[in-house]
Amino acid sequence: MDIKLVVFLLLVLACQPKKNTVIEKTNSQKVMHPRIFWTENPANHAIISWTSLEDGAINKVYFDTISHENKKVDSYPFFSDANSNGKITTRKDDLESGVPNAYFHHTDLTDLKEGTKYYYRFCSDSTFSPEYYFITSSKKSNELTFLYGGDSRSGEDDEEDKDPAIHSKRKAMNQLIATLVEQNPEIMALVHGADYGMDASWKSLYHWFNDHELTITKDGRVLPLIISRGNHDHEIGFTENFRLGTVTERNSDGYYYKTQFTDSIALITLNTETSMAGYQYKWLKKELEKSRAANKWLLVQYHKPAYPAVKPFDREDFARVRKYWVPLFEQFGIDLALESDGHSLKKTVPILKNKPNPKGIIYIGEGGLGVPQRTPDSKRWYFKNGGHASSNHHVWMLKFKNNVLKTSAIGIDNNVVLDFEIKSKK
Amino acid sequence: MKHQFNTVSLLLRLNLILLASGVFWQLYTGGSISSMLFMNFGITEIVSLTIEKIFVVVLLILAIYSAVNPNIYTLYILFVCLMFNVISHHIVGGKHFSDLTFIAHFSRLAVPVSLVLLIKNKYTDFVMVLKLGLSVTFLTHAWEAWQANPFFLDYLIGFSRMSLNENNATYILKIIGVIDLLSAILCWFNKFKIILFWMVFWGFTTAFIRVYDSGWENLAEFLVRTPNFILGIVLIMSLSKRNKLIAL
Ligand SMILES: [Fe+2]
Ligand SMILES: [Fe+2]
Repeated sequence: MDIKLVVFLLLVLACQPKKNTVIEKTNSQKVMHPRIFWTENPANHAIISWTSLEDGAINKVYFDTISHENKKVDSYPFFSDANSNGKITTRKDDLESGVPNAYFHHTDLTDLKEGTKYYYRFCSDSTFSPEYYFITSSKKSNELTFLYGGDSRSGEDDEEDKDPAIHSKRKAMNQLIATLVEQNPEIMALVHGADYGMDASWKSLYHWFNDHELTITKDGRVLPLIISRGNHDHEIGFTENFRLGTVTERNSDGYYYKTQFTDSIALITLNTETSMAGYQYKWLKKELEKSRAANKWLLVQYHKPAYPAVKPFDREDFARVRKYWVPLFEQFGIDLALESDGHSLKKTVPILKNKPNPKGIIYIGEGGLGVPQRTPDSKRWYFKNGGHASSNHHVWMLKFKNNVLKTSAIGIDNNVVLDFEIKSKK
Repeated sequence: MKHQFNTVSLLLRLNLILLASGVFWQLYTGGSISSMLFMNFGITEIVSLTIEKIFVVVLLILAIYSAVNPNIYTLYILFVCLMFNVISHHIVGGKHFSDLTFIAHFSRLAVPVSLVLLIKNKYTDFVMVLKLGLSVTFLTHAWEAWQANPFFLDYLIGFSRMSLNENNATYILKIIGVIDLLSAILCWFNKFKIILFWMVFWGFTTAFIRVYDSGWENLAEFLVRTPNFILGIVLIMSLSKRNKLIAL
């Protein structure tokens, strides 16, 4: 054999990547839908989730507190394997609508440092996402800002419903969220009051996740989600794609939990779609007993409203929220209740024992993240003399600073539609 | 005998009014039909609500007219109206067991159909439709109970004034599910006519629990479920007189 050829072959072999080197290719078609869920402990824990089009044997998140953009993925000192993977349930009409078969992946990142930027990339086999980042919450802080909104199902008109990929208002609201985070980097999370798609089928969620990417800032910041479950989120697609891991498993898959943002600010998420009087009631009572004394600020969020702006006040599912939960909210003096479902903007007067009372609780809502807005019944007693109800796409911004909570509803054009302040009860 | 069948007819006609009043009450201030037109078909909110209002007013007038002066044509239209209502519930979804909406409404749909058959003197078909309406609705209820519908759990826990825990309520629902399933099967056999009395009692109880649980403001929820026990009463009365049907 020609000696030159032998040398050439040896050189080629020597230049081959080592076996344990990760060969990466960035392909947004194969791994997509970046999203982060926060549950109980956002200072030290986050769930990183994504979708892949192929069933990967290796699904991992690589992460670090400094950026490794444009570097090889094995330059990240930390990685964590996805602890929940599976094929997303599809029905015939999902595939007929044009969405592809796909797989869900969820990775718990634990023991994170509080108040820290984390850069990460996720992968399924050799396909990698671009680098994103998020920021963990700071336990010691007296300040906190988060966004709250709900209801992003259904398009504006018939055409949008036939093709859920259009959904112009949802897209506009998500772009607004990204802008708000860019303008106010202190925003830590998006609390979502549920009703994501028309149902939790893959054809609805696929587009919801696509649109959710619009909330990512230009520099790649992903805003963690604190989710509740709504009456349009009953199907299995919800538990597959919005998996909250041990938190919900412990509570019989109930999607109710307490998020301790800082040492003095906590949010309790409740689930109106499961028994309100059973385990959840007992859990809530215990949690309120424990958390009220320990927190300067204690808020609750859930989907179906106790004080609806649009739908009938007496409807039994709303009556049940008032029957079982509101007395506990009042007994333990929660600071603010966040509600969704109605598809309008509302703020009630402070309510105690079903009557206006300055010592009572204000209920805000009620779903404006892109769903067509209905006309609320602004003549209801809880909207008079300081309350508000109107038809407005919106997202709420809640800014906690020491004893004051500034709350503003931001309209689709990044304008403040409504704002008010409350003082801490403690 | 004639009186017996007139009572049967009267009961069904009364049921028609109760049912239509329930639907009227549920939808007049905005319900599944306007929601479907606005949310799913992109029709403006005001037009959707107006169409729904017209729909329920027409439904109620038709029901009253059919009750006073039964004829097959208005009854057919009523059936179509009720079907439209079912379809809107199904399309809007957003409820537990939304997929079962159509079969859950079987007893309601059976009311105008059974009246048509009564008018046409088709006794065998009449009994068949009553049994079908009852048993399919009980079957749906059986499945929802077996699957621990959270609404049902809260009815039980609320009824026990919070003394029942969710675990025990779930077990009780399993038992209820089995009894419902057996009722749905046994009501087809004349030998087990006694089961119809149970179905009347249980149909009434499960309809009324909605008012008991969340107040008289929820009477509409009871009214739309009146066929769940009235059909049973009608069946008992019809079967107890095996004579040929006497027309209205
Ligand atoms: Fe909802
Ligand atoms: Fe909604």
